Amino acid sequence: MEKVLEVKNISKEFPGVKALEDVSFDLYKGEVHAIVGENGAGKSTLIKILTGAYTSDKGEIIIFGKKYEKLEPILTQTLGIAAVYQEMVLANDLNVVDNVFLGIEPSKYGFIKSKEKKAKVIELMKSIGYEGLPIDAVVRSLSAAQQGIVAILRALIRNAKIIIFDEPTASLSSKEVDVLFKVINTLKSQHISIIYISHRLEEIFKIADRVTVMKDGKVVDTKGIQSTNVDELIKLMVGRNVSNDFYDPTRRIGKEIFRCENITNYKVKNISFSLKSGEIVGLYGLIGSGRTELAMSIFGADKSTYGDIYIEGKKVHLKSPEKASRYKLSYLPEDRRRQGLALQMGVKFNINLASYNKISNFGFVDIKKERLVAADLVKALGIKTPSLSQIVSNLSGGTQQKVVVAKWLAANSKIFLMDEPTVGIDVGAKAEIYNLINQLAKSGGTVLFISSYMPELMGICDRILVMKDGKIAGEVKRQDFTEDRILALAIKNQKEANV
Amino acid sequence: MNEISRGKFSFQLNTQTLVFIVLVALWVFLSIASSHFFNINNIRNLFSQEAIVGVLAVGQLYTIITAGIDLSVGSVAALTNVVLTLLVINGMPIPWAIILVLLLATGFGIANGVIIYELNMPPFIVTLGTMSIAAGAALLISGGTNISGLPISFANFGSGIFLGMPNLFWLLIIAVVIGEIVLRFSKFGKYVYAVGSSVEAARLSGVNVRRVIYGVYTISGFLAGVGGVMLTARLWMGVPTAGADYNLNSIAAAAIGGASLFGAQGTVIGAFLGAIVMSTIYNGTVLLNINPFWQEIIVGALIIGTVALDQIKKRQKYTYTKK
Repeated sequence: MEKVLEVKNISKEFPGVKALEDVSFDLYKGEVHAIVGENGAGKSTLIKILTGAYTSDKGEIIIFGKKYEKLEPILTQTLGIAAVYQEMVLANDLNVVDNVFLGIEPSKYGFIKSKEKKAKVIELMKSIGYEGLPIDAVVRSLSAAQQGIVAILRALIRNAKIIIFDEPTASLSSKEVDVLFKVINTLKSQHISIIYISHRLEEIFKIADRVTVMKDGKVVDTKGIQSTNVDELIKLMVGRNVSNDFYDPTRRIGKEIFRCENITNYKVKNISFSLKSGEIVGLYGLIGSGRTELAMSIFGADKSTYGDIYIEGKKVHLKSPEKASRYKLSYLPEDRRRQGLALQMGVKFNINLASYNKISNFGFVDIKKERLVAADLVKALGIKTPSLSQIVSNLSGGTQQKVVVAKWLAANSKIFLMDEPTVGIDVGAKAEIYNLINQLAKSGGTVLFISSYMPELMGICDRILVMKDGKIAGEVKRQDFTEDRILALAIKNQKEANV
Repeated sequence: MNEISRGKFSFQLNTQTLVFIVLVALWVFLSIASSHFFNINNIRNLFSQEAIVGVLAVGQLYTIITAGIDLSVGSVAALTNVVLTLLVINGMPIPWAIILVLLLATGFGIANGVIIYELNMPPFIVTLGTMSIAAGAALLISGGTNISGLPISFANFGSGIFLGMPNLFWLLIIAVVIGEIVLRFSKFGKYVYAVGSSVEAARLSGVNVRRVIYGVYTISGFLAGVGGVMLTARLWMGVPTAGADYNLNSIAAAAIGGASLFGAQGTVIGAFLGAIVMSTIYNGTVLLNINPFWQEIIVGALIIGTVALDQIKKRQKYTYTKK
């Protein structure tokens, strides 16, 4: 069979993180090649290199037999590489036809030929065996699945020979997934090659011909789909030693300090759970299961919230983050660069940001204390910064996360809601974050550790809450931790999972 | 420890020092080029010219640091000027009249803040609207003409000298000192930078964003009122069209002084120096007998030049980290 794409020994490094190391990968004509791996395994980086968004530091890329040192977005488009992302990048207020043709409108003397456009879209829809798309509707009004189809049509109109799907089923119902798979199979029969990225292993066995497992920026193995199974893939994906080393059995678990009852907002339904002092509780769930929305609601950052919250047994009304932080609650957002830090400001500023109240007299900041608090925490948490005034945008991901933790320690926080605290952080720094989480719990705090990377939760947590579709699907105690069990709760219906 | 403190301080000084160096260079050049420049009367004149735009720029700077803008300051100052004139010539005691117009101007600021925050509207549009409303109101109540008849005490104050410098300049110094202290050392000042850096990060850190947005526009409105009172003293009459230039000049002063319209960057001292640079250019072109139309061109080039310099500095940093 003919190879349409081959990647040889590429590496890509970001400050402090080796995102890809010596990665090789190939793709045959008319093949569906799946890539699996936990968050941060390097899948997205690889895709971004193939679409020209990033340039690799080393290695070569061969497309249709021609060698390229460097890809540019325009080049990859003319070569026929297109990506369909988990969050569709469509112009929401334009209709289907306009979206499909966006940027390559057929025109005569500057005027667009709309009839021709429509005819072409209808023809394309026929060719992929999906005709249920209202082509005059604006994209905003379509379902997630239909938007995915629009993205596929957009790729096809540009003569895509290689289509990359990045978590295309994350927000689809199972019926919609079937439709998508039918379309993918049609594309395959038309000799289009497909790279398919997904967290959902069972899907891969339905659609893929081969599967490549990535871990820590490296390719672990590439297997024919017939010669492997889910268990083996999980083993290849995980098999990390991080796990148990980070569990701290000396933590003393005390009284309940946080409880929420029937938390409900636009995304989550009737969530109740409690946290005890000294406890580290994991919150696992696939993308879109409502973990972040839950944390935001608890923290008072979502006005549409219903439900009750008790702190140390007392019912409280957390109407705003300002109020929540006064009750020793803190939220460490997943997107720490945009939501967790004042990026253009210094380390000292960021550490004190949530506690300027505490160190001010008559509205004026005690600058001696400001500096002292920052200096103490920089030392205590081992924050690697050349100075207290260093602008935080220039620090590494791990150091930035520590600054965010320091901010809440300065504010005397006890209940830490941590949303993917290790995302984008290299392995060494991750260990430091785990130790830090242990320390927080050990000193009488409690941590709700939100993550979609199961091994880290299994490594450090006392129990794990699993979310699915905005609800708590179940709770697993440490002694019962198995990857299958947790994953089953996150993916399958409750009845099946219990079997 | 000492080393630790130097980092940001020196960075801030850099932007300001740059403006300061430009200023000194301008002054040296003008002193050599014109015998009339470095003359106490000319310097006083230059400073009292600068005073009003400087005061407006202090308020403007607060809004700019939150990544906002206040286009209405000049028009509000003009409205203040007209209302104050009318109140006084119709017999209201001067102190009462001043308090009243300061409240009026502050009211404009509060209205800006409320609309921007509660309706989540872009500051540019909201203040563009209030700019037009204030300018229109000034024309409406004055009948579109200049109003004279103010007591001589206004003119005396406007041209008065205290400790060798114009009264108006001292008012500016007070605004700059308080403005800088609040921005640098108060909790509110820290929050202003936090909101400018990222509204979401500030909110999720427990900052009351509403209070900050209300605060900066209120300050800006109040200082526009102060500017309007100063304008009345300087012009010795009510001039409904007096504010037009100040709207944009206050922004220019802040920008030349190192404030970034993207937020989280800028100092009051910088805006103050920016205002002096602009006044110096106006003053210098007159002294050197250059066609006055050149003033605008030079100021325009200066704005683009300083901001460009800032961007180039940032880009170097960016490519550095990218490697």
